[in-house]
Amino acid sequence: MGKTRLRFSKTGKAKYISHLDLMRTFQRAFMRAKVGIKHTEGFNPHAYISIILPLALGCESICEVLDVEITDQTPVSLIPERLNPCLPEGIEVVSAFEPIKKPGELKYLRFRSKYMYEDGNTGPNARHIKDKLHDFFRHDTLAVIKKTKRRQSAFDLKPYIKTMDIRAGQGESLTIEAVVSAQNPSVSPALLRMAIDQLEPSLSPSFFEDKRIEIYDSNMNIFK
Amino acid sequence: MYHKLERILPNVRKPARYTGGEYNQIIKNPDETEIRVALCFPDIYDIGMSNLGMRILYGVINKMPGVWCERVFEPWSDMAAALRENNIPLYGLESGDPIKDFDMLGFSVGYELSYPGILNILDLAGIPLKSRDRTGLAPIIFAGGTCMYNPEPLADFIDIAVIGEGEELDLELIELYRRAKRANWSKERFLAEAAGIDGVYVPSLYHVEYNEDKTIKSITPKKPAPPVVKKRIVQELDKSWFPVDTIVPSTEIVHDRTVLELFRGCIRGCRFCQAGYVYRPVRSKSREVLVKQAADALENSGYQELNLASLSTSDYRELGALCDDLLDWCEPRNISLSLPSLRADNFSMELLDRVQRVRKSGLTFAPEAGSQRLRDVINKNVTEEDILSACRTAFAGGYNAVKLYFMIGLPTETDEDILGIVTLAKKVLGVFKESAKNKNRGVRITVSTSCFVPKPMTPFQWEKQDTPEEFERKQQLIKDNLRTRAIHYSWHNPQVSLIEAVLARGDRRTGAVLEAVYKKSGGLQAWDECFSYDAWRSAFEEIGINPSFYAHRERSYDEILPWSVISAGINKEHLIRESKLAKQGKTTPDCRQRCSGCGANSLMKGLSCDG
Repeated sequence: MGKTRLRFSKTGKAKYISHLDLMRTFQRAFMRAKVGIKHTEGFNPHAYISIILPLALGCESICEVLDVEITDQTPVSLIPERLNPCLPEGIEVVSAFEPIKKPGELKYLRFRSKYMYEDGNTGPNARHIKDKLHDFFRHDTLAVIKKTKRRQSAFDLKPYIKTMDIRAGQGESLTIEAVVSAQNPSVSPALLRMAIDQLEPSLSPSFFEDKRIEIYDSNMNIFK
Repeated sequence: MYHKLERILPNVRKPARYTGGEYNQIIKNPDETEIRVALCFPDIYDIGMSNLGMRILYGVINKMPGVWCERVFEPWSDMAAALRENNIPLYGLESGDPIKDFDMLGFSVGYELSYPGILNILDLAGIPLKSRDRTGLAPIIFAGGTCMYNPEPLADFIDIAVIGEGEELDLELIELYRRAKRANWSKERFLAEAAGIDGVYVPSLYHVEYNEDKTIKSITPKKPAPPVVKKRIVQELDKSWFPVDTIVPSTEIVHDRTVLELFRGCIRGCRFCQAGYVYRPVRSKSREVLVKQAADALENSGYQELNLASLSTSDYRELGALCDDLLDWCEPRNISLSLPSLRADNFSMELLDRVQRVRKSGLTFAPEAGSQRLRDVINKNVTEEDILSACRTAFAGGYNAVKLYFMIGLPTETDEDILGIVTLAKKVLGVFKESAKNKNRGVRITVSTSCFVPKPMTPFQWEKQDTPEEFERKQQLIKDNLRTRAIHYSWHNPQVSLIEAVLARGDRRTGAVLEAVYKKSGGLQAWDECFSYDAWRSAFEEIGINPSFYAHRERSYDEILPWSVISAGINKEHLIRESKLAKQGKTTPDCRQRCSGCGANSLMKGLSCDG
C-alpha cells in the first residue's frame, strides 16, 4: 500500500516498445495482475504511472524505474512475482520497494554502447577508431547543435560526461561505457553519437546497440 | 533471422508491430508441431490486430493439437522496402520463421482494397502468386471473410475460398490437410477432397465461359465440385468458442479495447448493406454468457474499455439489462462501455447514461439518406423525427458533438435527396440551439458522406454505381449549400469507391489488374497515402478492362453473376422482391415484426432464427 517504486528491465524485443506504449502496457499489466493502483480523477480516469527517465526506442535497459501508488493490500515484496507473468516478453520487474530518493535526485546514468564498423575492407579498423574516439572525447568542448522544430541551439555536452571508457570488442566493434548526467540536462547515447556525426563523421558507426546499465544519485550511490 | 531484422527495425516506424512477443501470444515447439499455419491479414498490424475475426480464428486454430497458427500482417511501406532490400522473407510474428515454409496461409479478407495486399504478402514471403504456379501440397493459400461472397477477382491466386463463418469450417479444412500431409497427397487430390467440405469453394474446379458482350455465359463445375457452395454458420453462439485470452498488443492499435460480440446477423434488412444480408440468420448470445465472457476477457487483457459490437447493437433484446450487469462489474474497475453505432429509432437517455458512465465518447448516427423517400428505398426505416429526437436527447444529456453518416449515389437518388442531407444537418443544428444543456460550449456536427458501392448478395447487386464525376458534382452540391461553421463536412474519395465497385462485383478477368496494381503501387491501397488511382487506371488499360462494365452497368435479374456459385443462404427471389420494392419506394418491416422469408433460417439446424 502506498507509493511504490519498481525497478525493471526492458530488453530484447521489448526495446522496440515506445515510452507511451510502455506506460499503457504497465497500466494493463497492473489490471491483469489485480494489483490496484491510483487512477486520475475526472472524465477520463487513467492509471497514474510515472516512469522517471523515459527510454529511447531501441535502447535496452536493466535499470528502469517506475513510480506508482498501490491502493490495495498487495505486499510490496510480492509485486514482482505478481506482475511478471502479466508482462510481455522482455519486460521484467526485478524489485519493488518504497522510494527512498525523490525522482529529481536521480543524477547519473551509466550506459554501454556497442559501435559497429562494418563498411567492409575499405572501412577503418576498430582498433584505429578506438584511439581516435578516445581523443575525440578528450576535447575540451563537445558542442552539439540540437535542432528543435522552432530553433537550434548549441549544447556543450563535455561537462556532463563524468567517466568514459572505450574498449575494442569482437570483430569490427567497440564498446563505450560512460557515466553521464541523467537529467537536467540529460545526455543520452544518441547525443554522444550526434556529437560524433556532427564533429567527426569519419568515426560514426554503421550500426550500434545501446543499453542502460545503472542509475545513481549525486553521490554515485545507486538510485533507489 | 532476428539478427538481420535488428538492423532494419530501428529505422522503421512503430517497430513493435514487427517483433511479436506480446502478452498472450501463443508459442509452440516447432518439433512437436505437425502443421504450421499463417493467419494473414492483408493490411497493417494496427488494423489487423483490431479484427475480432482474426482473434477468434487464432484461438480456435491454436487449440488444435499439433497445429501452430501464427500471425502475419502486411508491413507498412517503409518496412516492406527494408525487407526487400535486405532479402528478409516475410515471417510469422510468433516464431520469426519464413512463412514460405508453412503448410497453409489463411487470409482474412474484409474489404476489396486489401486484395493487392494479399499479393504483396505472398510476394514478400517469396511465394508464387498464382495458384497454378504452386504445384506442391504446401503452402495451400485459402481466404475467408466477407469479401469471399464474391471471391472471383482472387480466383487465380488463392487455392480455396472458405464461405461463411470459419470457427468450424477452417478446422475441418486443416484436419483434411493433416490427412493429406500424412498420406502424401498431391495438391490436386487435396483440393478435390476439400471441395467436398460444405462451404469450401475451389476456384480452379470451375470453368467460366463468357458471351460476346463480356457477360458470363456459364460457370461449370468440374467433378467433384458442387454446383453451389453454401456458406457455413455457427449454430449456437453461446457454445461457440470466444477468445477471452487474446493477445494484448504492446503498441497502440486502432481498436485498442476488449470487443464483445452480442449477436450475429441483423434484423433490419437495409438494402445496401452486404453485412446485413450475408451474416443472417440472427443468432444472439445469452446475457449470462456475455457477462461472463466480458469479465474474463477484461481481466485477462487489462483493457479499460469494453466495446459492445454487433451490426446493430441496440437491437440486442436485453441491452438495458445487459448494460446494467456489465456496469456492475466495470464501474468499480474504471472500465467504460462503448457502442459502435446507434440506431436513431431506439436510442434512449437511459442507454446514453450507461455508455457515458465512466468515460464519455462521441455519438454517431447513420441516417444514410437525406430524404424519407430515399430512406424508404434503401429500407433504412428511420424517420427524420427519430433522428432529431435522438439528437435532442443527446444534446440535452450534455453532448455537443454528433456525427451523421450518409451515403450518396443510392439508387433512384435525385438532387432533392442530396439537398435533404443539408436540410437534415441544419435541423440538427436547430435542435442543438433549442435543447442543448450547455450552449456556450458550441456544437460540432459532422456530416460525412460515403459513395454507394453496390455489393453482391444484396437487393442492390444489379444496380449501377454513379460515376466519379457525378459523385463529385453531388459532393459539391452539399459543400455549396452547407456553409455553416458549426457543421463540418467530410466525404469519401469517389475514385476509391469506383475501384471498390469494380472489385466487389468483379469476375476472374479482374485478377490481372490486382497483380499490375500491387507491382506499381504496393499493397496498401486502402490507405489514402498509398492509393494510386493512376496505377489502377493504367492497369485497367494495359489489361484491357473497362471499369465501367463492372461499376456503371445495370444488370438484368437473369444475368449470370460471377458469384452465382456462392450462396449466402438468401433466396434470389427474396433479393429480386426487395429490389422491386426498393424501386417502388416501399419498405419491408424488420425481421421481428414480420419474417420476410429471405431463406436464411434454412441454415439453422433445428433452431429458429433470432430465437
